[in-house]
Amino acid sequence: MKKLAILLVCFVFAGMQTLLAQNIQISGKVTSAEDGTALPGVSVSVKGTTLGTITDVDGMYRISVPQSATALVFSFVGMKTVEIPIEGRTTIDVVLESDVLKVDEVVVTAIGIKKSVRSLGYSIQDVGAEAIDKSSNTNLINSLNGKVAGVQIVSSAGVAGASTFIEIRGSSSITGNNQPLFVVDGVPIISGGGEQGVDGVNYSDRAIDLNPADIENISVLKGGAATALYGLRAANGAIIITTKKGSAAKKMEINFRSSVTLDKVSQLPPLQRKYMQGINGTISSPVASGSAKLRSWGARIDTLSYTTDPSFAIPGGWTMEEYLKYWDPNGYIVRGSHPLANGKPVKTYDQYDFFQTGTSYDNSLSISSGNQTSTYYLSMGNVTTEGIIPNNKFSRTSFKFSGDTKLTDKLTAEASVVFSNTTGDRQQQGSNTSGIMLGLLRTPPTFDNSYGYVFPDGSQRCYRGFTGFDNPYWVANKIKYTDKVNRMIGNAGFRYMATDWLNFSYKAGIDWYSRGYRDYFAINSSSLPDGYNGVGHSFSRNINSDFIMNINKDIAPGLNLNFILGNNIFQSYFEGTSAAANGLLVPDWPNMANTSDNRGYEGTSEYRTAAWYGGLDFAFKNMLYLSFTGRNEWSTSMPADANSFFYPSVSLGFEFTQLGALQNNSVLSYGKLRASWAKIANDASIYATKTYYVQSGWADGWTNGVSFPFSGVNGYTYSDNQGNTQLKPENTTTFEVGADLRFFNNRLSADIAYFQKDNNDLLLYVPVATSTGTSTVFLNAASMRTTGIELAANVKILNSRNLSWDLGINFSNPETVVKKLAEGVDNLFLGGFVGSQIRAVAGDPYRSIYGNGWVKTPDGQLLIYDDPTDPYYGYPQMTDEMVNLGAVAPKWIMGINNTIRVKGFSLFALLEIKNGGLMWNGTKGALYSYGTHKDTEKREPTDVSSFGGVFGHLNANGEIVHYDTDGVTELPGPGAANDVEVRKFWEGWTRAGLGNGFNGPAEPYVEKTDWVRLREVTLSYQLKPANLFFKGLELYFTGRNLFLSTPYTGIDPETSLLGASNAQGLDYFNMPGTKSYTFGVKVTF
Amino acid sequence: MKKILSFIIAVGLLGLISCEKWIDPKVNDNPDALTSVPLYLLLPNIEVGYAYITGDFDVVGNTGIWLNYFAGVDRQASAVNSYTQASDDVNNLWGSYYSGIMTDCKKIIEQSKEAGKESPHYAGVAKVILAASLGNVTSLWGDVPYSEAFKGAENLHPVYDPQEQIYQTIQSTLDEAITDLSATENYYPLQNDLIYDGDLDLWIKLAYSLKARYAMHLSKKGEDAAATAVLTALNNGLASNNENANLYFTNATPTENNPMFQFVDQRSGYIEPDPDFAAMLAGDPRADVLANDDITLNAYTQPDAPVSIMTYVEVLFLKAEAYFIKNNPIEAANAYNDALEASLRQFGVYDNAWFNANKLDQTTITRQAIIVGKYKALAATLEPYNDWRRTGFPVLTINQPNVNQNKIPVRFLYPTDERTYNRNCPSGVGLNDKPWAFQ
Repeated sequence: MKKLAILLVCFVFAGMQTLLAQNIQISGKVTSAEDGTALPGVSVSVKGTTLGTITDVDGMYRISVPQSATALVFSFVGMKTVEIPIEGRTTIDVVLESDVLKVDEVVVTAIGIKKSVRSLGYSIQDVGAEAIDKSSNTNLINSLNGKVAGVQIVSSAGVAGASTFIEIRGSSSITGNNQPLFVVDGVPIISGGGEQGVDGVNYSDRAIDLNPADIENISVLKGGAATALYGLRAANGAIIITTKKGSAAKKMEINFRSSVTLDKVSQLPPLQRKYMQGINGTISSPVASGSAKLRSWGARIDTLSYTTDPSFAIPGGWTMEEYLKYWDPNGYIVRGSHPLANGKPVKTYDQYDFFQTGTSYDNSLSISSGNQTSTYYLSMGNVTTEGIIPNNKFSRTSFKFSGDTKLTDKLTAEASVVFSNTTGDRQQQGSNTSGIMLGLLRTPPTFDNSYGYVFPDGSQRCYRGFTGFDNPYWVANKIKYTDKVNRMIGNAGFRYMATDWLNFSYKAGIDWYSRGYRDYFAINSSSLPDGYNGVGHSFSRNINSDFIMNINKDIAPGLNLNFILGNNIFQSYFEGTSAAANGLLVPDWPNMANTSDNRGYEGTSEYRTAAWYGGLDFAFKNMLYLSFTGRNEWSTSMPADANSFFYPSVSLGFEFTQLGALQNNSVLSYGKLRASWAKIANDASIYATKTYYVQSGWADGWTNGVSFPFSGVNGYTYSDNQGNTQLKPENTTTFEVGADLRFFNNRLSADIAYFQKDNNDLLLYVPVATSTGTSTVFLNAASMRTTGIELAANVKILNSRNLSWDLGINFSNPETVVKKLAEGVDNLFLGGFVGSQIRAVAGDPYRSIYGNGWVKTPDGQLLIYDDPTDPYYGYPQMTDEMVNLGAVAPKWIMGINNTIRVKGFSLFALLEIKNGGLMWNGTKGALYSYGTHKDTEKREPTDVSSFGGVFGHLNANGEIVHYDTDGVTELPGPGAANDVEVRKFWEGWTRAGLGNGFNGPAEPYVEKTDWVRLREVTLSYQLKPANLFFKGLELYFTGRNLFLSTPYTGIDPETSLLGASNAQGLDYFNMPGTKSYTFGVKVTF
Repeated sequence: MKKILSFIIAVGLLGLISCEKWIDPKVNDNPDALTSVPLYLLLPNIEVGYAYITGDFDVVGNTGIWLNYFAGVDRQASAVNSYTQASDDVNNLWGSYYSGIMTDCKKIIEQSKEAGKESPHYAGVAKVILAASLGNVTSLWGDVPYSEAFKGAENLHPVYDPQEQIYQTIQSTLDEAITDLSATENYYPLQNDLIYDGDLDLWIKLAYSLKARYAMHLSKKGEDAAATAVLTALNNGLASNNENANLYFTNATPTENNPMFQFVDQRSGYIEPDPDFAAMLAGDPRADVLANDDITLNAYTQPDAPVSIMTYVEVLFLKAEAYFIKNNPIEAANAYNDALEASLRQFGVYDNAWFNANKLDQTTITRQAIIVGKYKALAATLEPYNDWRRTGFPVLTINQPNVNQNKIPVRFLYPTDERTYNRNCPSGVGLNDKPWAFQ
């Protein structure tokens, strides 16, 4: 380390010497070859240095260059970069040709280093401001959907403020984080979050704090070689966000954007409206006693009528007057033949009337400007959303300031600060007797939830009477989960250009947020009948410091060397306190004082890393590009003797069209082959090196259990998660080959990559036999492999001045397979329920759905119960053990985008095709039991069909046998083919037997989630008025998810019960997705 | 300019020099948890944990449905009623004893040996609870891990010790407990003892009483020896209802409520009182508190009902059975009558006339009468299940024909985690395979 320090000091002094050298002034004008107009904003730099300037509005530039300078480099987006020898001149005018190949375009790579596309030995894809803006998503992650090959994005629900899960090139961790690192203007920010339990609410992930309108560009770093310089925090890839800046080329520019979005609930499970509340064809009501009222297996509604006769004896002692007032203004439901029936037909209700049209208003204003020495960008934005569920709200208000200034010719200072405030009002979802969808979808068609949700005495009106499953209106009005986040992301830095070949930069960034929440259940809520109030405040902070030295020199003719050396220091810190009040005393008073039992909690965590990293790039004659990187990291979460680790990468780009014979080929205009290899390490989760004593509680899975303090004393238990000091870092080896091919002057281009990623020694808490005294041990145990192909292709179908049509395709098929979990462990629970869950299974794709299945013969036929005396004769049978029911991940995803421009009009349409992938539709399984699902309409004795399969059953030893003709003797193997027709929605089977998701297996509810969807369509019209007071005006309409075709029979299958967690693939009364219609206007002054 | 350069150099050098200080291993010490906890904060945990786990549905509900105290009428309880059990059903129970209570007992025993601060009284209490836990575990599962258990990552596959060896371990652990509790040198005095409030004599009596219980478990392996051991131990056993080893749950807050109260409250409708048991208690003053039609009105489903490690009533029934084995029907009847009276008083329903009418004497006392009397008095606890497997009393009617080969299960299945992760876990053991002790 000392040697490095000396080296560093030497470089700095070398830089100082050149300060003394004499500079010369060069000026000139840059114009476009196409039409001769001046080009503002062209970057002018001294070759081999980072000294530079940009042209002003008139295309003019002036630059001071050292006498040693040999050439100026002019570059501009969409133009070919040119290098002009100075040769003693002080005036240099330049004409730039448009760059149809776009290979000199600059992309942001790791650590914010900008590189031209042609020099890369790995795949990077970026998405520009336009595409992010127009997609009009509150959460910027959703704007990437379908636009980047190899990225999978799952929005967990259509409700306001819901989280989004993102994964690049499959998964890398079994139980840990699989989401990428987010970097904003060179500073890693806090991202992730948005995981939730099987109940509760949809939480936001923290990417939602960023205002998409501030974003200039998002660059997606996919593979190991691309992210290697970032180190372990980018082990799952990186999303590099560059925000908008002021431009020295432009006078003050004001941008105003305003849009309104209407959200409509998308696909919903179909419900029946033929049979009423009750079981076995009877009549029940909310005030009836017993459990028959839970379900909708009652009488046929078209045989029923109401009575309003006061002499009718209503169960529960209600008078007719009260019943009409509080329960149903139409009367009490009776048989049509009842002597007191009034002959009026019984009404049914569309439960989905509960959903409203969501509205979202998004306004943002930005001002930017700059001159030769300073630039700034200032913005504010607000988005206010009310979702499709009443009182489900989300809002974000953000402010951003960024600027830079040249303190001297060589020293530039820059700073940026973003402040955002987000607030959410969230509604209960999932497996939760207060869940909106759970109460709504189980409601019999004869019960009107909207007729009232609360009685004058404060008790609840719901279809089961007063409790059981909450009336969704009760949930929307009486249960409140509110949270607010105040966040600041700031950075400040310096860039110092010591000489024409040496520069230094330093940037320190801080990202902190505070979050406050209140979770409140009114007294009489089903899930917490005594009421509950919880509050908490937390504070999270990341600090990041990067010091970078960069050397760029032509070391021989045609051979350029670029060397960087950097130091990184990082800290992540969290502290939070919370309190919970169980059992409230005074109704409708959410306050911690409103209880006789409140408890406090606190949490603190800290994590630090330090690293040295270096990169060495050689470029030989624009043809061969060879890069090496290395990074050594120290982490506090590893045992002291294993806390330092090194990982290298190498990549090679070979632009074979630079070879003599292939130059200037009219068909293949550009071709590059590339290959890269990288090793990345990852550290342990924090606090995993020791075993701790924790405050104790005991529960048995049946009850809430007991917890300490107990009887006024406290108690501690030795943790069931055993730490380990014998750890080594996780390691990942990635390998990637690819080609970048452009034909016919870029009319057709294709970037194809094949990659393989091997994750070994993955750290996790491995489950062990509890007779060891613990239930998990933290070990280096698992390994996974991901392979896949990515294709990004573009075709310019039409390309004239007034009409153009671009077709783009992004295809990827990453598949992550779990190779090994741990000794003796062949599968591992990731999330879900007892009988239907997501697991990692050794030898199978990561994220498998696990549950009971139907018993099948070895050749896959259903085994149909063969005892003719049994009521379930002709029906299938359930397996004893849980089995793997298939993989959640799709086989491939393809985004097809079309951009058609006709004069000022532009039409963008993004079609997304997803092939393969499964989801557990637990909602359906439950609705079968409740008899509210549309399928259960086919319950009449005439609705018969055969399950197919073959006859047989399992004997006491679990072997397949079938009855001989005597009906007693068991013969081995399955019997004849089943041709018995049975009622598949017979109440005795569907409600009382295995024909529902509670009693029966999970298998029939595991459904395909393939889809074709019109992810986005945008029509915009751009006006460039010559004489008006504004510079530009654009009107646009964006529709999202307007079309969806899927075999999935529930809600929009882009959903996740557990939010942005690893356990994707579960749907149990999830909040539904939406279709959105956005109308927007953008004005530039 | 020079200042700025100096700053940059300083930052760079700082990065180099401070690396070791920055990566301070102490940063990875969890500030919200402790690596060592004083004994007085570990003790209440094993007491409450033992009581909760031993008094919950997993033990009381499963065995209670099989023994006709309850009928399982809904959901998973109806599966128990038809004599089925899945390995998953008992996973939590096994884990709570092994990685929970017994591990915590071992930690207390270890910590109480701290040089210079030896606190055998804590070790003694921990050994009593460890022995009782091991007794419950082995009576439900037979051969279980012990000699190689509790070693964490050092041994992920502990062997299953023969049940005979486990019973020896229980006795020797209780002997050690008695020695520890009798120690005169003790650094940290017992504090936060929610069962006996630090009364060492009562803990010693409890240890002797448990020795008697586990000696009697082996009656099938030599009745006379078992009876001798029981009577020897009970010279020092619990001597009144006031000495019951009760852990009291409370009404103060939902997280301090009795486990069976929580079950019938939070899993309403899963179980009902079994009419067979109500019929047995017809006319008995305890009928209203042990076999009430409304399960929520019974003594053991009250939010503040205690769960006992052992009671005076059990001691008396053990004594009665031991005297009976020893052909001493006079003492057997006396002990039986004492047990009956203590039981009536324990539930606050003593009725002199009924008691006198139901007393037994040397001519009427039988083994069956003793065990059935114990079955009634110890309703909704584990011991009657052990007695039934040992003696066949009370004679039970099966809940449901044509399930489990028309047999009431005589053991619990080994749990999923052991079957999956411990390669030494015995395989092929079914619900009808009686543990060695009761064969």
